[in-house]
Amino acid sequence: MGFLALLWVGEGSSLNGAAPTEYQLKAVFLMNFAKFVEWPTTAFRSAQNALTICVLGENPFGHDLDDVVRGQVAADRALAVKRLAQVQREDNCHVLFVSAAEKARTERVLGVLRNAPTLTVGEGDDFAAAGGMIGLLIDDNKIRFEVNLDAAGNAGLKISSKLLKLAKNVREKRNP
Amino acid sequence: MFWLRDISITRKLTTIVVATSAAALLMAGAATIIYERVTFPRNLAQHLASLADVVGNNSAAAILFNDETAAAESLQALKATPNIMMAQVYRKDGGVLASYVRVGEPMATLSAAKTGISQETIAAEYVDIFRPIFVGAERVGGIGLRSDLTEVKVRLGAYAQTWLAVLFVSLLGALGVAAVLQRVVSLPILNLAGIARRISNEHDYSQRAVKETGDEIGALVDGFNEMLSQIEARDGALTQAQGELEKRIRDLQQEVAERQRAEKGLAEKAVELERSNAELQQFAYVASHDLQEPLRMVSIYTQLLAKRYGPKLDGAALEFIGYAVDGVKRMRLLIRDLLEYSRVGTRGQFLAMTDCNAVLALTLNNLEAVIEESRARITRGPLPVIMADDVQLGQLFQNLISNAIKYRDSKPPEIHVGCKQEESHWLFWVRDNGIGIDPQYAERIFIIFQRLHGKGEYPGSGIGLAICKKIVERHGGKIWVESELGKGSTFYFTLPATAGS
Amino acid sequence: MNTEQYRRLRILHVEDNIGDVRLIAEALREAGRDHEIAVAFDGVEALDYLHRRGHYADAWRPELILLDLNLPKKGGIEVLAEINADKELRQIPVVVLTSSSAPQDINRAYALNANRYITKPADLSELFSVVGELEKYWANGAKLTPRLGV
Repeated sequence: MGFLALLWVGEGSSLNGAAPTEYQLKAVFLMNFAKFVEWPTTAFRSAQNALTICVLGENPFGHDLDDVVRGQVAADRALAVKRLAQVQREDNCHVLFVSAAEKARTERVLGVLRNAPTLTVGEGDDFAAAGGMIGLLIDDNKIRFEVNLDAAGNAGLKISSKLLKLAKNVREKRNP
Repeated sequence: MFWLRDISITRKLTTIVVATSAAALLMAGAATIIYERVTFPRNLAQHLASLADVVGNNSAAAILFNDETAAAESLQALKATPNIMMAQVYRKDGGVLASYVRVGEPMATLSAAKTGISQETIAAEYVDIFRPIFVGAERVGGIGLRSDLTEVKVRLGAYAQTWLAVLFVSLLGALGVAAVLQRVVSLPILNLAGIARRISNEHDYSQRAVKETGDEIGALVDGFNEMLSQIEARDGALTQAQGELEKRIRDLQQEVAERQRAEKGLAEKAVELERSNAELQQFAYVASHDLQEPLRMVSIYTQLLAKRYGPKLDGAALEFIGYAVDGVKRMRLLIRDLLEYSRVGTRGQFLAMTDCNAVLALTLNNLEAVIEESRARITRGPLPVIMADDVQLGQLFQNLISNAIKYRDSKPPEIHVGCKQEESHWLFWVRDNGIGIDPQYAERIFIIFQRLHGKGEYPGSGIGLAICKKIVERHGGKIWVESELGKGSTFYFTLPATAGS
Repeated sequence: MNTEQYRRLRILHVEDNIGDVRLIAEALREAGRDHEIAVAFDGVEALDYLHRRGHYADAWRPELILLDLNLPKKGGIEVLAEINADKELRQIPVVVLTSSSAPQDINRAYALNANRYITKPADLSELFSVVGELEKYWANGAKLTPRLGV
């Protein structure tokens, strides 16, 4: 991941001077995604309710995600990280990360969480096509992402256009 | 400024109004422009800030996702805003994520980028804005914009132009309005001035100015009219007085002319009188002389007759001759007296200051013989100095005193000559203790040739008092007598006093 | 008749009034004098006589002239002036005997060297005394004094 480091003019984060790893960056992305998404009010029990980022199965972040989100706020809510072996709707994950290692389970997970107010974030360029809301890609040595707006819309999630602007691709019904 | 003083008030007023409007407009315009000059950049800055916020907001995600391209793209949108010279998106630490710069402009980094605090810098040629970019409550970075001030300049220019146009039009308007409205003030004044000029040219003070307004000018008109009324009255009075004066002058001139005529008449009369006097004197002299001649013949031949043939004549004849001679003698005396009487007028001298005391003294001297013979005692009071004919005055005294002596009774005559000053004349008197005069004849005795006694009793032709009267009257006085038979007489006469006598 | 010695005078009486001529004559007679009197009735005649003109060629020269001033043709003053102007005639004494008492006549007469000026008296006695006195003066040895002055 050295090549990535060249393109990253570091921002102050919990990373201490060393060039960020891929998953450190993706952790940041994940956190940032939360900042640009609007969950329906029903997704939170109360105002104090933290915004939960769940990592399914294999955890590529290590502690990085925890480090990144520590003390951060998204949508005026504190961020919390949960690791799950399995995911249910009842887990009330606001954000679910499906790593590339769990690709096989992608379809089933998406099916379980269909229309649930969980921002599904995966890796690979097929994640969004499969119905995942945001798919992380590596494009031209940069981390890019793809957004499936329909999936998000069906789940009642509003994704800010600001985020959409940065997406490499946005899938919508009218998009071919 | 002096030219302003002497131009017509119409122009003055209009000029003043227009100048005032211009000044007001200028000040307003200047104030506006200055205000704009000051505030517009600020507005621009605010506008810029809003723009920065928008763009920054749009770039927030790019910063978070470190997407330079996206950030640059956001900034590129600013190309469409021509006044933006430069724009930068900063990361949270002040590092530049993306920049935009207008063609030909240098790059610069806002100092506020590091602090992350909103900042506005208004310089002479540009305005800088730095705005922090937030996602929610979290500052993720910042955006800096630099704008030139062309808009400001353009706007100010537009303002100035507009304002100049407005100024021009307003002034025209003001000129128009002023030109019309100034009439409210100037017309009454001009009318007043016109009337004043007219009156002073025509000298017709019956004219009046019309009071058209109720303001100070109206008051001035009232005052003016009142002044005119006074002038008119005085003028009238003056004219009247002048007329009266002229009339008086004419009257006086007439008087003077009349007096001159009278004087001339008098002068002529005086000459006439002089001539007549001379004639008369000549006549009197010649007449008396020529009358005297035959009388002399008669007189002397009857005397010769008596002398030569006296012895041959009887008493009666001698008596007859005596009567004849007597008659002639009387005739001569009468002629002499008449001559003397006429001479009072013809030989009268001009009156001169005469000391009556001296004249009386001389008279008494002349009468010395008869005074002594009659043992008369004559007393006198002080007499004044008056304007008189000294010769005639002497005659007067002589006649009165000799009468007083002549008409005495048994006792020696006591005669007093006195005088007293009265208002405008001196009253003289000659008092005697003689036989007195019956008051019923008091006036008759002054008539010429009137005698109260026979020749045998008292001699005299009866002309003495007539001469006295003529003399006194010639001097402008009066003569009269107060007397009682047997108790003496007092002859009074007045002579006009001279100032200072 | 007056026994006094007297000269018989030749007198020229120039007088137009016959009454006065007679008077003088009577007065002289009264004075007992018998002078020769020639009479001229006017000034011209007087001068003719004096100059021995005409039918007065052999008139005698008078020794005294009695001259009235009031004369026809030529007045007494004129006559006197002519007498005074004549070298010979001026030597005859002239007594002016006139009724006028006017000062100018008196002055004029004396200026023309009249010897005496007498106003004719109206009273007879006065007349006699004047004439007597006159006659005495000239008749009784009075020299024919040459007149003063020229």
